Amino acid sequence: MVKTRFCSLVCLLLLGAHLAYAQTDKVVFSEDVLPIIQQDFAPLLERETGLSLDSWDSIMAGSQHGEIVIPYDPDGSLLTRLARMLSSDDSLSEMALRVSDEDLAIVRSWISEGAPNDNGQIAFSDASDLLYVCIQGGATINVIDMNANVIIRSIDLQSLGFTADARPHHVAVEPDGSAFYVSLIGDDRVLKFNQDNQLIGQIPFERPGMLVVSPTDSLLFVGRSMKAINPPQRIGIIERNGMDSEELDVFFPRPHALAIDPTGAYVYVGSLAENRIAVIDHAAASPELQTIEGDPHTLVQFAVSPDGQTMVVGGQLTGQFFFFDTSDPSNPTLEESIQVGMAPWHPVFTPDGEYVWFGNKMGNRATVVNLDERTIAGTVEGLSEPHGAAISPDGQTVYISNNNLNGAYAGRYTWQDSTPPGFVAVIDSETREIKRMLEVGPNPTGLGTR
Amino acid sequence: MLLLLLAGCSASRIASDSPPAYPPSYSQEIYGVEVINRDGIQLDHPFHGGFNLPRPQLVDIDGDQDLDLFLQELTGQIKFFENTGMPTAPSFTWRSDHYLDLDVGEWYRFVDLDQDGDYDLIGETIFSYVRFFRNEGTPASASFAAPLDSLRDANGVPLFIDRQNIPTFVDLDCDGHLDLLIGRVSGTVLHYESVGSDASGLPRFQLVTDRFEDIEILGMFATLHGANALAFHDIDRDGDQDLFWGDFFEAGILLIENTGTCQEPNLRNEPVAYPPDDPIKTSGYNSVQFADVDGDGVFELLFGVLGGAFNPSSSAVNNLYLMDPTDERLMLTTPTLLSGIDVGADSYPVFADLDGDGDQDLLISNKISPYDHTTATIHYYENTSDGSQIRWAQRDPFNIGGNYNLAPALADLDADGDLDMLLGTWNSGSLYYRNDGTAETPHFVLDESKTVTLTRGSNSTPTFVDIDGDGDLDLFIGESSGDLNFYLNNGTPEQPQFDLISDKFEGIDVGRRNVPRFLDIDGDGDQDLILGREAGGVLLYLNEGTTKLPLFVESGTLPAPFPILAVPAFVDIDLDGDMDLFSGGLGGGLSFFINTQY
Repeated sequence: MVKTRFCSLVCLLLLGAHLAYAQTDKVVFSEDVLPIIQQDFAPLLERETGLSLDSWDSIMAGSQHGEIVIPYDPDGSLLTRLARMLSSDDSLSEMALRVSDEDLAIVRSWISEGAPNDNGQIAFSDASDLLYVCIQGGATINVIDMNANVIIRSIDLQSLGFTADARPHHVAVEPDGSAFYVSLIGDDRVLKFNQDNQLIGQIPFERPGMLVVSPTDSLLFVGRSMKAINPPQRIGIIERNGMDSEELDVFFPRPHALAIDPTGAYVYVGSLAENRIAVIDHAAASPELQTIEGDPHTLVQFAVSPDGQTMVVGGQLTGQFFFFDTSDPSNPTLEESIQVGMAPWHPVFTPDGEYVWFGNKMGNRATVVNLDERTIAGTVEGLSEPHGAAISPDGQTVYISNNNLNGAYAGRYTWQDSTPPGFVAVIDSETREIKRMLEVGPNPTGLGTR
Repeated sequence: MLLLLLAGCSASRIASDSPPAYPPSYSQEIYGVEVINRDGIQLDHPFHGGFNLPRPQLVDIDGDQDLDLFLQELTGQIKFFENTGMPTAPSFTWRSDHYLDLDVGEWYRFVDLDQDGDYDLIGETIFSYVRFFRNEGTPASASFAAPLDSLRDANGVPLFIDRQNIPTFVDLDCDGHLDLLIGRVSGTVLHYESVGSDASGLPRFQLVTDRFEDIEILGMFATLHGANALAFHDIDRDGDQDLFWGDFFEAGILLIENTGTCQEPNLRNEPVAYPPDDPIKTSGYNSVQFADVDGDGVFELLFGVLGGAFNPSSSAVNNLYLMDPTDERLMLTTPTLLSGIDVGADSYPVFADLDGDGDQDLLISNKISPYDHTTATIHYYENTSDGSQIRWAQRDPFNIGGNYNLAPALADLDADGDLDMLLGTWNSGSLYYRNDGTAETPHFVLDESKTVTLTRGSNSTPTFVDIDGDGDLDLFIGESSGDLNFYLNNGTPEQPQFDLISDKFEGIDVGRRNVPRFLDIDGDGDQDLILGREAGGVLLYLNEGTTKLPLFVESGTLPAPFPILAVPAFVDIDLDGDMDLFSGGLGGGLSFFINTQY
C-alpha cells in the first residue's frame, strides 16, 4: 500500500524528469550521483550518525542506524524517501524541497540500476550471511547482510504479480542458502526464490503459516495461519524441487507452531487452539499426539536446540515457556516450564545451544533463557511488538523483528504515510544491547536464515 | 414436519420385488425419521448435518413479518431455515444448505445496504475483499444479482477485511447512513461510513477513522494474533448502539457500553464481559446477534460458537445459543437452537442389527468427544420403528474408546452368529473387538493380537466384503491419504486371516479421507465399490467383473449433495426395497438422502 501510493504520486511527478534524463548518457556514480548526494542530500542525512558521504563504499556502508541505499530499490531507499516522503511535521521536510526533481531522478535511476560504483560493482553481491525479513504489511521481503547489518535487497511482491495484501508471513531458507521459501497468508501461496531473489516456483496453499525445511531431504513443511475462520487441520508437505504438495492430518485445529528435529525424521506441530502437539514420523505419515496440561496456552512457535536434545515453545496466553527432552525425537517429553512473561513469540537458539532468545510480543522486550539452568538470563527492553527472531552464524548478533503496529517505537523520521514502520532490532548477544534498529516496511513478521 | 412411513403400512411406498433401477436417485431429507434423544426429546431437525462453528443471522427474508434463520458453517455457503411458525412462536424449517447457491466466502451479513427496503447480502470474496449481492427482488421475494466488483472506499480502493474478522453494519450515529465497523487483528476498529454509490451503483464507503473510539481489544491476556466478530445492539435501551465483541482469545462476549447519544456515540469505555453478573463462557470466538425472536418486544441474544483458544473441540456440539434477557438476568433458553443428530465433528455412521431384532440400528462415532478429549465416542441409536413409523431412540454410547476418529465395521468374523467389530482409529490401526456376548446383547472385547495396521498413514476406515466369492469376508481399509488398502482373507469364516495384497488398491486415490463401502448398486449381482472422501462427493466404481473376479471401473459420483468428509452408509430405512443413503460429515451430524426409486 505504501509503495503503491509512493509510485502513484512521486513516480508520476518524476516521470518527466526521469524520461528526460534517460535520454542522456548512463549514470556514472562519481560524476553524476556523488555530487548530488554530497550537496543536495547531505542536509537531509544529518540524523544518520556515522554516515560518511565521501565515497561509494562509505555511502553503501550506511550509518550507525543502517543503510541509506538499497540497491535496485529506489522506492525503499532512505535516500530517496527523505527527498519526497517526509511529513511536513518533520523538521527536515523543508530541506527536502531543495532536492530538485531532476537530481532526484538521477539518483533514483542510479539506484534502479543497482547503485553501482564507477566500475559497475553492485554492493553486497557476494554477501552470504543473509537474513530474510517478511514485511507483512508491505508485501515485500527485505534481505539483510548479517555482517554489515544493513538491508541490501528488497523484493517487491506486487511487481511479481501478487497483491498489495499478499502478506508474507514466514520464511525458511535452504541449508546451503541456495533458495528460500515464503508463505503468503493473504494470497494463499508458498513461494520459492533462488539466492538471487528471483521467483522460481510457487504453489497455491490454503492459509499457509509457519515454514520449516527438512535438513536431510527435499521436503518443506507448512503450518496454518489465523487467516480463516476455520483453517484446515492439516499441515502441508511440499517437495521443494518440484514444489508439489500433499497434506497430512494433524487432528487438532489451527496447527501453527512448527519445527523439525535435526535428523529430519520427526516434525513437531503445535496448536493455537488446544494444548496439543503432534509428533509426526513423516516417512510413515503417522502423527502421535501429546497434551500439555493446564489452562489454554496457545503454542506459537517451536525451536529445537542445535544438538537436537531439547525443544522449546512459548504459550501466548499463559507466558509459560516449555522445555521438552527430545533426545528421543519420536517422543518429546515435557520436562519443565518457566514463566517468561507476556506472549513469548518465535524462539531461536544460539549456535552453541547455550541460550534461547525470543521476543515477548506484548511485553515489548526480548528475553534470553539459559538452557542449562532453565532460567531467564536477561532481557532486552525497548522493542515494539517483537515477532520473529534469528541469530547470525557466529552467534554474535540476534535479530528480532518488531511489528510496531501501534507505533510505540518512533524511529528517526516522521513520514507522510501514517502507517507506523516496522523495525528489525540488531542486538549484541553478549552485551544484550541493541546495536541498531533497522527501519523496514510496516509490520515485519517472520525472519529466516540458513 | 414430514415423517416417512414404513413401506408395509404406506400406500405411497410399496416394497418392490423388482431390482432397483440404476442409477439411483436421491432426495435430501432433514426430517423423515422420528429421532428421540437420551432425554426422551424428539429432535426437531434430525438430519441437519451438525454444526461446528455456526454463524447465525435472523432476518425476515420473505416479508412475512417473522424472522428467518441463516447459518454459515462452511466457507462459501449459508444454510437457510425458513420461519414457518408465527411471529410470536417461531418454527424453523430447513430449506437449503446452500442458499440460492450464493458464494459468500468466509462470512456474510444481510443488510439493506442500498436502503431500498429489502435485504442485500454482503460477503467475502477471495481473499479478504468484500462482495456485494444486491437484492433486486422485493422484501417478500429476494433475488440477488450476480456480484460485481469488490466494494470500494471513497477513493476507489477495494475494502479489505481480514477474512477471519466478521464486520458489522449499523447506523451508528443516527444520520441515516450505514456505518461499517471492522475489527482488526490489532484489536482496533476501522470505521467507514456509507457515502452513496459509484457510477455502477456499488455503494462506497468513506474511511472515518482507523482507530474508532480508540478501542483496542487485546483480550484478557493482551494478545495479538486474533480473530473477531462484531455486533451492535442497544442493550440498555438508552437509544444508542452498544458494541458486542466476540474474539478468538475471549471465552465470552465483550460489551462496550455506548454512554453517548444516538447522534454522538461514545464508546470510549472499558469492555466488560457480558453479562456482567454471570458472563458467558464458551470455547471462544462467539458470533453475536440480537433479535426479537419471539415477537415479545424484547431482543433475545443469539450467538454461534466458532471456537477460539479455549478447546474448540468442546464446542463441536451445543454451539448455537439462544438467551433471553429478563429484568434480572440473561436466561439460557437453549444452547442448541436447532436440535439434530450431532456427535461433534467428523461423524461416521454405520448400520447394523445391534440388538438382534431384525432391523438396522445406527452407530455413529466421532473424531473426538466434546466432553472427554482423551477419546472419541461411538453413539448408538436403536431402531425402534413399530411397523408404521420409522423411529430411532438414542441409547447409551458404547463403552469403547481410548482412540480418536473411531470407524466401526461390523461383521460376524468368527462365524458364531453374532456381530464382531473391527474398529478403525486415527493412528492405532484397526482394532479387533470380538463379540463375547450374543447377537441380542453384544459384548465387545478387544483382541489386540488381531490389530490390522496400515503400512503408512492414519485414519483407518475398514469395511468387509466377500470380494472373491469364496464365502469369507475380505477387508478393505481406507485412509487419510486417500489410498485404499486391500486385505484378502486367506483364512476361513471361523478364523479369518487378512493378508495385505495392496496398500494402493487399483491405484485409487480419492484425494483425502478414503471411506470404502460395497453395495450392488446397479443390481447386477456383484458388489460395486463406493468411496467417501473429503470433498467432491462420493465416488462410484461399478464392478464390471464378476462376483469372483471384480473389475472396478470409475463411474462418476453418486447424485447427492454430500457434506465435507462424506462417510456414506446404506440402509433400506423405509423397507421399500431400495437402499437409502445416509452420510456422516465434518459437521458431526447425519445427512439423509432417501432413495426415490420406490
